[in-house]
Amino acid sequence: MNRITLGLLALIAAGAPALAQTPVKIGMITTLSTPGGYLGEDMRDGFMLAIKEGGGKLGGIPVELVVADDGLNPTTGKTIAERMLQQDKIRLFTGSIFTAVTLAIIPDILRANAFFINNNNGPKEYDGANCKPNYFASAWQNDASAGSAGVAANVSGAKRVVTIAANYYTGLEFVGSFKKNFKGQVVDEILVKLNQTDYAAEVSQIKALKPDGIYSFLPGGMGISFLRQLRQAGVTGVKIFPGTTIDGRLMQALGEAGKDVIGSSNWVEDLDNPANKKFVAAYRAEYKRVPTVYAASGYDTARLIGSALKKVNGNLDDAEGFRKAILAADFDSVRGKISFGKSQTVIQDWYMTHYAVNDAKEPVQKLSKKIIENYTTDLAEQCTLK
Amino acid sequence: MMWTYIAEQCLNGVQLGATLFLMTAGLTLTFGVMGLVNLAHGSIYMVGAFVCAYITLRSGSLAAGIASALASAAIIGALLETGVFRRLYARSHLDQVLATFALILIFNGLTKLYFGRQPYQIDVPEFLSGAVHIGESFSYPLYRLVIVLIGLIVAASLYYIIARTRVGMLIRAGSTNRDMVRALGVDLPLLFTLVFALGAVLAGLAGAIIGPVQAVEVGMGDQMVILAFVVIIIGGVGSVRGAMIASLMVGITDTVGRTVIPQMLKSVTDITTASALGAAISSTSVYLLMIVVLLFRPTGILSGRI
Repeated sequence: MNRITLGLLALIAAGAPALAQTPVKIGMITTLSTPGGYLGEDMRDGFMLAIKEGGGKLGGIPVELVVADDGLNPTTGKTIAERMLQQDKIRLFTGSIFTAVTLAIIPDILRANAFFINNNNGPKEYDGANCKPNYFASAWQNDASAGSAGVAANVSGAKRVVTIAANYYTGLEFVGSFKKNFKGQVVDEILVKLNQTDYAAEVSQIKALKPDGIYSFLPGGMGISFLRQLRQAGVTGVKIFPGTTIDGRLMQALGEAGKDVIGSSNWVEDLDNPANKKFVAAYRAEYKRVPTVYAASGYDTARLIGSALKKVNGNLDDAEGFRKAILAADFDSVRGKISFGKSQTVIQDWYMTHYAVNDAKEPVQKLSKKIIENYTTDLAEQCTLK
Repeated sequence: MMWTYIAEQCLNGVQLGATLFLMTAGLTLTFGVMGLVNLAHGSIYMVGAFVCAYITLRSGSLAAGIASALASAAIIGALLETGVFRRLYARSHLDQVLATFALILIFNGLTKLYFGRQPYQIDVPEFLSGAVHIGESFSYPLYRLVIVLIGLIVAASLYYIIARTRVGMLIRAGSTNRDMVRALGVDLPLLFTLVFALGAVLAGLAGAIIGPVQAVEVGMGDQMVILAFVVIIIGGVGSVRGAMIASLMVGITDTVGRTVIPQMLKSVTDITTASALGAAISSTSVYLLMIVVLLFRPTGILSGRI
């Protein structure tokens, strides 16, 4: 008897504020632990900054962000997705950092007719003929991230390149995309263990090969260790093309060892548009650290969601309306002009960056020039969604 | 050209072996003397690296960083021994694994809270940076040679302590017959705390000196500790000399396996297949070495001998 009364009370307590103002719940399954955890932290903080600027609202609609750490473990991610779908009744998801986790959580989300806005990785499994009405890639398709490094290598005149990548599914995929876009010769392909810390053997190998460029897909601390050991071994002047795997925070950790890094990204801190200027200033003031492409992506996604929520007045049951509203991308992106292509994957420009020291004496990635205009994936045309 | 390349790779292997030795020397003593499986040894390595990086960045002196890393490793080691491990000696290995695994999670969590998620980096001090040139085509980073040197010095002094001093004698006696040592009236708890603190200092030293080479990040010790246990099994549980030999074997096998196997495969197939296949095979090379050693010496190379 007592338990029933308590249960009723709890129901009333939970229902009361919901009647007054129903916030739209947004599920953010992201990576906050493991060495890659800082990526999820930036993503979350960028997203929260947008909510804060809206006074707890996105597009004028009250929202509630539910954050959970997947620990870079696909199984954990899947369990969280199931819990958020069934217990928390969440209908809108975003935030996954690593492709492996993303691939594990998407099926459940889509089966429940919920939405997934992929704001970091874009597995090609959901591009082209396999596009899904409730799946959107708002950051990039993976092919673009590594492909942009290939274009950057072409633009900077590299002829003989060694690739070095972490030996797992995404690493192999990225090397493939790099080779597809790079016009010079790939003299060797090195694969290393995921989370390897000592690269002495690989550095010696590279020294012997004497390449003029290196494509590296070594996320997080792996990249720092590799680049510093490369420099300590006296290898300088060889251009490093890491695509999006070297970000603002890693540049600071690298210091001088980042001098040869030629990055390529869909967002750079000094991109000249009003939305970006506002974001960079607000982010630096709020969190006292350099904004990364992940933070920018979190911020942009929050505002993309806001623009769509506004159009359907916070009603996610209007699925078709919400879908069309997302695809319209009716907001001022920090990336400048963006739009969604046929396969619901973002179409945007890509930029090349170089090492520089800013006014606060921090090493940063500075915008060199635009290298790709309106990048569209080659699979996009195969999507039959209307 | 070919020979200098092979020499350089062997030197890389020796350097990896030297770092591994610093990690395993303490671990093999605690495993051998107290029968404790301590997975959290890697956490002390991580703490050493973080403290060293943090203090070095604050004070600008790597020496100050290393000194504070050693001090904090010793304190943490002694505290862990008296507070946690002492209750685990009588327990089964499974309980020990569970408890020390919990410690890994706690250490990772606390480090994240205190130092943040971003990887740290410190620079090699000016007088140790640069490369040593031997002849026309051979050069090697000076700092890595220093790491090898530190490994050798530690090995020699450890060997001296264990083989020539009274404390070393008690450690040796403790590892072969604990009950007899206790019966002779030796203060075993104090001895254990000392051994543990010594092991922790060595792990902290390994973490501190690796800071200028690698990214200092949460979870960095977890990968090292797996290799360290392989070294202990190969070298023989409780044997410091065995740990030294096995560290070098594992270091060289891992390094040469990583480079030579893919290279050899490239002569028979295309680059992409060779690198994928080579990476798969070379990641097992250390474990193959362990299997071969255990086939011939089931208790390790120098089991039962210091």
